[in-house]
Order: sequence, then structure tokens, then C-alpha cells
Amino acid sequence: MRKIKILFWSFAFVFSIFSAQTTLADTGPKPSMEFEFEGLQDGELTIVSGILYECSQSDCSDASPLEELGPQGLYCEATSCRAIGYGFAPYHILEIEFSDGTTRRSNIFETAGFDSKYTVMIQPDDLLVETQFNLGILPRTGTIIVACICALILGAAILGLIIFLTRRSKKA
Amino acid sequence: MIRTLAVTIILEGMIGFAYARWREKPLIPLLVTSAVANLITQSLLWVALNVFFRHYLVTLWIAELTLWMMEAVLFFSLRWNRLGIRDAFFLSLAANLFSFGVGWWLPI
Repeated sequence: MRKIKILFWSFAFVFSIFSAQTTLADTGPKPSMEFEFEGLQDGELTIVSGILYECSQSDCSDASPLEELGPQGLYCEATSCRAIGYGFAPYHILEIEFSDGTTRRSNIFETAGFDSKYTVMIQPDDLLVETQFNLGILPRTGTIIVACICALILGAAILGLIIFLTRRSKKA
Repeated sequence: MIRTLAVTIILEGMIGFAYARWREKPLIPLLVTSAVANLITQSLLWVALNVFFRHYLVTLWIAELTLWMMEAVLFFSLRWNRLGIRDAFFLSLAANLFSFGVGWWLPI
């Protein structure tokens, strides 16, 4: 009976997280983008809807909306937006429809990292998207150092396991 | 990351629980091994995805294959699990496929 209870609460926990799609507060193993809008806090202007365009070209001549596929998509609330996807293109344009009936388009901006954060400034006719500090925009040497440390840990773990298994097989 | 890790440990724990009941293996050691293995492998996955964020799917697939094998070796290496190499690989595959499949559709 106790084990059934544990299983039940485990399921309940998993599905409470699954159903918390609207909160989207934490980061996860899928790449994400968070857009914080400046000037929406007073409540006069709110977000109605948004489209995130994906581009492979730096001039965004090949822009196409982010496809909605499972959890992939752009989710907007009154004052912020969040995108989640199975990988992002290198360049983007954000298009937001506001409660004043105006649709504003942003400048072209780059994917900054795995979980990118952006500040969006609302201008009379358009949007200005700026990247906030993120691991993904560290200099290349920083990325290489992190990759080397990661490879070192992985190598040490594999080596340790090989030594352990060899000793174990000798004992047997 | 904490949310992802918690979900992974619970999902893989469920598979560990079912496997332990089915094959009459020690439950607690299997669950502890699974949790510890996930702590290590999820951290590595997190670092890998952050470093190679421009190649998400390729990184994810390669990392998942590596993590499956790492977890299998860990299941096999720890004697108190009483698992043969085939059982360890099977359990690790089942647990990782389950958590990967569910996680694919979760907005986290």
C-alpha cells in the first residue's frame, strides 16, 4: 500500500510539472529564450500575441516562423514572452502585437546561448532586442576551457570505470 | 536544471521500481544507483548542451547514447545491484528511453 502511495505521488509530481506549462519558470534540457519587455510594467500596454522568426542567413532573408511542434513554440503573457524549441536557428526576429493594436518588429538578433535572455525595448514603431549576459556569449576561449574541463571529467570517469572493471574481472 | 533532474530521477526511478519487482532485484540499491547516476550524467548533459548549444539535436543524441552506456556500466559495476551486464544495459536502456520519451514532450 505504501509503495502504491509513493508511485501515486510520483505520478502526481510529474504531471503537476507537466501541467505547469503556463508558468515555464525554470530552465530545462531544451533550448529556450526569455524576453523581458521594458516599459510594460505599468500595465497600460500589454502583449496580445507574438511570432518568433527563425533565420539561417544573417540578414534574415530566409525568415520563417518558429514551428509549433509539441512544446516547441513562442509563449507570451501580458508582459513577457518565452520560446522553447528543439534547437534554434542562429538568427531571429521577434514580432509582437500589442494591446494598442500596433504590431512591432524587432531588429535581427543572434541566439546567445542554450538558455538565452533578452531585454526588449519598445520603441514607437519597432522593438529593440538586446542580449543579456549568458554563458553562450562567453568568449570562444571560455567555451573551449569549459569543453576541456567537461571532456576531462568524462575521460576520468571512463578511465575509472575501466580500471574498476579490470580489477573486478581479475578478482573473479 | 533542478526541475529536469527531479523529473528524470522520478521517471527512471519508476522504471527501476518496476524492474526490481519484475526481476526480483534489490529495490533500494537500484533506486540509489539510478539517482546518483542521474546526478552525474544530467550534469554532464547540461554542460554539453550549454557548450554545443548551436547543435542541440546532434549533441543530445550523442550525449544520450553515452549516458545510457555510462549508467549501464554503473548499474553493472556496483555489486549490490546484482545485475549482469545484459540486465544492466537493458535496465539503463529502458529507463533512459522512458525518461527521454516523456521529456521530449515536456515543456522543460
